Amino acid sequence: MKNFIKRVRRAPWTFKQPLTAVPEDKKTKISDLFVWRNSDDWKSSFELLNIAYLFGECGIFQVDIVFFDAEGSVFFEKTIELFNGDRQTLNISKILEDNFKAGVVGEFGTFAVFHRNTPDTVVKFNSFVAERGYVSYCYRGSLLSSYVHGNLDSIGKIDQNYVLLGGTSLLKRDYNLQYQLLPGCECDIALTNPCSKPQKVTIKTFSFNDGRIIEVFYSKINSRAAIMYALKGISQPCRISIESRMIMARPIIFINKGDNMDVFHG
Amino acid sequence: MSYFPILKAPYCTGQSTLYNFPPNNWEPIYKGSQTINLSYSDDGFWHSMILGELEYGDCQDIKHQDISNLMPEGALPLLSLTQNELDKTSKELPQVVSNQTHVPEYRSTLSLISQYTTTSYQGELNPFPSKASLLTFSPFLQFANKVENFVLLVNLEKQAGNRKVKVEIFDANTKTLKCEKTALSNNITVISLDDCGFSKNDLPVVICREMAAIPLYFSCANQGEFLSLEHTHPPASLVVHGARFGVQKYLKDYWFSQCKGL
Repeated sequence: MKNFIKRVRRAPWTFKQPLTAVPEDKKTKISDLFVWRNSDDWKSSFELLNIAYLFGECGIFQVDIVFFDAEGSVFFEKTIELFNGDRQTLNISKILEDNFKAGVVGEFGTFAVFHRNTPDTVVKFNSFVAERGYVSYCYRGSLLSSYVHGNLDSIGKIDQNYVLLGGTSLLKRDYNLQYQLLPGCECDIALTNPCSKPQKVTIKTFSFNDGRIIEVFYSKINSRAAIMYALKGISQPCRISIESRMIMARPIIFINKGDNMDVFHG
Repeated sequence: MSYFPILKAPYCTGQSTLYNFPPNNWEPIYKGSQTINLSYSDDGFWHSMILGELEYGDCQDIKHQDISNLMPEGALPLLSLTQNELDKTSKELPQVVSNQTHVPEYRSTLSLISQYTTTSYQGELNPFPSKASLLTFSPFLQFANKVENFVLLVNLEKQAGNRKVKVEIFDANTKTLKCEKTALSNNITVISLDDCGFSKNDLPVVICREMAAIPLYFSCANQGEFLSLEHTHPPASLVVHGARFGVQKYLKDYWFSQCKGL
């Protein structure tokens, strides 16, 4: 009885509101929406794994990589042949060099990586291949890049069509980042939209000293797109909260201090 | 019931930041002050003590040097934020009554701090079954002058004590054994990857047949001037929906049979 009451109370937050929808077509390939950055300060790379090879399959395997601008429009697509068992680092800043030179895109956007082959084992277990791999960011030509993994199965590709898999909520939800922002650092907050419709988001910055709101940022993110909110001039310990109708508005956080940078998922 | 370890790595000290507020506004949680505990394994027992209280809405940094004189050197410091009092001594890891959410999970900030900079990830640590294993593919090694690469294997099990287990590191292409190391349960084992003979086009496969762990990859340049830290996914994350753990079992069986140790 207690569990039943609990479930009823939670229903407005959970009923028909999955984090990731199950694609109708079993042949759908799934990817996270990764964030690329390119500017004088930022370069991006992606570590590609040959998933079919990891399942013990033999052959020549390919991925389709598709790049979206900050508005969510496709501006570049490329098919890449995968190495068997070797590391394959894609220099995204180089792949998109011509687009950057032509000035057709800005300094950030999203991309997705779709593996063309679904291993037999994956079919047998009623699963879908998902690319949740690792993006690395290099800041101001640093000796080291910093990695962040994907963890939201955002977008599917079936034939030449894309299907957005992120669920939306009946009620607005808060994503409270459990992180303490400290004075002296600058913070870029990247957020992608894995839903089929544009999403309104409100990012609030709260003081840890007295709990008051220090700053509020309103934005709209198109489907497949990303926003990059720069939080500068942090003068006291604070935290951020993201309000939206996305089931989990999990951001990627870039912390910059001098020539150093740290990046992680919320 | 999550614990939050304080990490360790070369050129760095560990710090964990605990938060007494929920990561979302819709999964019900206890909204009150909670107790900060320190637990560690020693002499075949778990030992726990109270470090303080954390008010609702607040956060607390706990550095390794804050607790180093409270526990034996080399033991893994485990923090927890609880509504219950933990047994001072127990054979099994104490059950913590703490706030739990799922979308996302409750996290703390696990940081490594050098004299120059900080790197961190948002994490938590739940006990692994003692019969579990580890398979991970790591494309995180970085190659340049004065750059060093490590894997930090973070393990927690219910049973106190430190089991010593074998860790094998293979090349994914040739499936040849590149090096063999040991790791400890209920601890963080720091393994250098620079002496395994990998080049920048190799994909390392880390296998531990007798113990599961969170594999954190840590790189540093110029003895801590620049730092990088991230974990790799478990094999189940290569797929979504369906019987993901059936897929994971298949991958482990396949790679464990393909990669022969000494």
